[in-house]
Amino acid sequence: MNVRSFVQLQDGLTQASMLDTGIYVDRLMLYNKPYTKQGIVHSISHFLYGNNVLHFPVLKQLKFFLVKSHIFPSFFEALRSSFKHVVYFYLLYIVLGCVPRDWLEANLKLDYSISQLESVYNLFDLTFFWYMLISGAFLHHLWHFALFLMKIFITEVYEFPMEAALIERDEACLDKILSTSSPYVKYQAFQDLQDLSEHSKRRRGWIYSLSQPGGHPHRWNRVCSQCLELLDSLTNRLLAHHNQLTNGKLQQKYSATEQISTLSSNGSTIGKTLTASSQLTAQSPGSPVLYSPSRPQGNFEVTENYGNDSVFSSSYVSGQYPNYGGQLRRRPIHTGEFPNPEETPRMIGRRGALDRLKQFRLVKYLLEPLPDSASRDLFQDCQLHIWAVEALSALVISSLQEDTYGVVQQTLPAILMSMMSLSNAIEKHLKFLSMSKDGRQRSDLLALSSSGSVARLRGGLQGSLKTALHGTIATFGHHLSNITLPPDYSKQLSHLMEYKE
Amino acid sequence: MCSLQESLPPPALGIVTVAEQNGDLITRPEDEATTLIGNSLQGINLPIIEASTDTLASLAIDESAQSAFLPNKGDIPLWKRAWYSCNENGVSGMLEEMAEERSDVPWLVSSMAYGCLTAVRAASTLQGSIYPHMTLSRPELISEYSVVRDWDDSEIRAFAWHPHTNKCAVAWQNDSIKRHCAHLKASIPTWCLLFGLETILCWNLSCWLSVLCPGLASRPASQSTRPSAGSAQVLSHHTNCPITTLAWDPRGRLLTSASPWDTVMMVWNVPRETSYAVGRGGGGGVSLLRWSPDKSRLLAATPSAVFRVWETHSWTCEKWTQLSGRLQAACWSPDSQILLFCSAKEPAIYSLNFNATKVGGATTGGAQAAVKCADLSEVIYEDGDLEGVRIGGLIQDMAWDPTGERLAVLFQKTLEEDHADDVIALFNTRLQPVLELIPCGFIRCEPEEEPQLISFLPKFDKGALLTICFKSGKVKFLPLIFTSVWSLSENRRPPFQALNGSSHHRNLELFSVND
Repeated sequence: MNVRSFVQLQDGLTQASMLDTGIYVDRLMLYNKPYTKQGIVHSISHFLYGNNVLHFPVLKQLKFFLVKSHIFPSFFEALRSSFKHVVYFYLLYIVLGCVPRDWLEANLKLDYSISQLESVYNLFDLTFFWYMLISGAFLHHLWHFALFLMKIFITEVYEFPMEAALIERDEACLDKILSTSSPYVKYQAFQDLQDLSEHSKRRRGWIYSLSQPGGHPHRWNRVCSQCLELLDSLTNRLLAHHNQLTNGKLQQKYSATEQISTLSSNGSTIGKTLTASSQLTAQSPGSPVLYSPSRPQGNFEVTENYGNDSVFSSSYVSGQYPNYGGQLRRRPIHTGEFPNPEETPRMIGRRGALDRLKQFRLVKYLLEPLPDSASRDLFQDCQLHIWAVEALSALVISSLQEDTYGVVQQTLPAILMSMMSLSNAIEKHLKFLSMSKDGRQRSDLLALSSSGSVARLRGGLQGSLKTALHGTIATFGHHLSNITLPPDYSKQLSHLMEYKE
Repeated sequence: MCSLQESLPPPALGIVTVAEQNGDLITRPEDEATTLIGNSLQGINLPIIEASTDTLASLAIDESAQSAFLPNKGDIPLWKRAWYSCNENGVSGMLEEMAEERSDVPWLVSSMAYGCLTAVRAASTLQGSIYPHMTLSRPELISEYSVVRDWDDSEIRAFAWHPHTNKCAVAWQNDSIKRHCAHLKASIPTWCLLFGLETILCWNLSCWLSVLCPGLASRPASQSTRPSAGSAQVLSHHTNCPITTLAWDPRGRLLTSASPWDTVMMVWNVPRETSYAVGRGGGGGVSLLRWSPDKSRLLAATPSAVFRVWETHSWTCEKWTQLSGRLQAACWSPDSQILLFCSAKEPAIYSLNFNATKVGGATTGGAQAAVKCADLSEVIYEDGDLEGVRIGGLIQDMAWDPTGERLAVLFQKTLEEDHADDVIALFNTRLQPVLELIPCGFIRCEPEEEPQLISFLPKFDKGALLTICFKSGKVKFLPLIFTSVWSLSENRRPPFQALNGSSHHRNLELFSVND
């Protein structure tokens, strides 16, 4: 689509002045080459700078003002980057420009003998430079602006109904939709929950309300259990990961699962790590569930379909791993039977080939996992947890004034415990992460995590947990001491209540 | 509307206000005052703040390493000099360097640079005629827009209470910041700024102390005596504008920062270190930010006679114009329904009502017009000790206590002899059924002391505790002891969100409060 439209565009610009076919072909090529190059550069930078990752904004500004404030910076950025790329293009054009021209000339049996491409005249051709600069900037702006618009529309808050008029539509209500299997809908549902918990008193009232015949707080129970389940699953994943690392089991598991791990062509290492962790769950059925909440296993096809669309799959399905030069797709963690027996022999063969390849240092470097890839993988879908924590805390805080039937207070201990345990688990994880690496790896880690969006999300989760706990304490004050909690947690709570630093 | 004439006359010079007891201001001669204040504060654990300049003064060196070297302009090529001055002083610096008439600068280059420089200067003069604050230098700008009355000479540059405990942070003139805890005798040196100039402090709900320096830093307060890089989080945004105001939202999630030179204010998500630009054109910049206590609205004043109130759901704003001058000070009522503000050119307090039910959607629910609720123009006393003394005038800052029953007003500095500008006016306020300000009296401090900053302790069981910072670095705590209206009626909902006032529920058990 790109090439065609630009040809058309340039057509309009140049056709009037181009009479000779030869000149036309030359010009056509001349103006098309920057676009090809621009296209390549754009697709590489798209993945390299994480443009494929979708970030949900913290502030929900109106679309008009977002777009308005984005247009000018985006255009200047486009000009800047176009100018930067022109330099590389000139080099390419002068050195290799004659190759495609000669090829076209030979194929179309054209005969023309105008100026040579590698001439000084071409180097100082201002019209050419101007065309290239402007059209490059235009292209860059067009692509980025389209992506920007799409992201705005995708991340917009969708308001789910709280109560359905018809029974058939009941499944579309917010409290039911929270447990949906579709990742995008789930993200939207949690975003809406966070939004209503902070800003809409009327919709909060629905959540605190009781069911009409029976008088049960079904809505609150569903919302709360979904959020807590989400938080607990992350806590358990973190603890399981931590246990593996501390007990040195990871190394053993590697050797055990190396034979059977499913490898995608570019995602070997991640697949391996996750296999190791799922193996652990399969062996200890008593341990709490260990699965990625955004990707329940029954809906593999659905998520794969989403996965094809790189834009919004990437924030939760796959991250960016720059050292692989591309995108790794995270495989779902199987909680049930494993491995798949049909694939095993082929996998073993491929595995052996990979092992042989690993003898080369460069290949080994490319195939080794990044130091914190496992950690990043754990926090991949952290945005959901951030929303869950913020929604819970806002609902708890406003329950003091608005919850007429006291439905929230029954679950207050569970909420506090969940938040504290998750906060502790994250702290432990980060401490371990920073201590367990040797110097070289740590510098790698710092470099990656400071720029990585996952590290930011992780920080965001930690911050919102802390804010949520402090907010709850500030609201209920000393009454929280009436709550019965396990001794560890009540001690931690009292520490928090005294604002000890 | 009330005026200062209805108020009781201020105590004579040498008589000091020590406390308030149920609406009456208690005064004593200066020598008795100290012991009486001590008695009235008995049982309240407050930090001891003393101006000591010894501890960090040696660390806070204003000089940079650059000053140790002499500039060498002799045999550096022109392009190199231009490059350095462009890096250091920006494009205009580069132009100045090139416009200098020197032998090694070609005539064409220097005349072109001179032409550009003239054009730039003409443009900035034009801009300055529209927005005069654009022509101020940075120190002037800070001293103009700071809430401190006398920025240049005051020992204390900023003061902030912790929202929950009796703990405060003080920024001193020597660019050191100390935290003072009630249970510790000594202060904890927290930070020392090597860059100087602007300092603003604000505490977050969860113990984050934000400090403003040329970059923007925010740190979790930790026990360490020596600030380490690990305990601080630096937020930086590539802009050339000096930030003069900072505010945490009351739930502690977002930090807003703004500059009088930039119409866009930045809203930070601090743990994620991401910022969002929010703003509308017009007004020249943002000089003051005030969050409403329920987090639903944000006041953003501009250096011109315009201010905006943002609603924080979809971040749209309503604009109020036709003030007599720029908005000088503002404060929200504890229930977030009323905004009190005053302009820099008129001695009056205006109130603006907001309707709670309208919030949500794209409106802030503000009333159509602000109502003048207090006239603070000068009053001349003609009898007794106070003959010929004038009181009142333009307002520097206002503070409303967390129960919403007392309002303290600090006046701007005047250089006139018979003008008592060092008294603080105290108003009794009622929020229900309509806002009412009743002049309560004047607080007179020790002679030779000039009040610079006022603020209220966020949590105080017996009424309100006014904190006054003086020019000499002393800090005075003035207890205002009264029984608040809502606590008299049983089972009544407190008139404000309980976020900051949980101590008032102490005798209730854990159950929800019904509407």
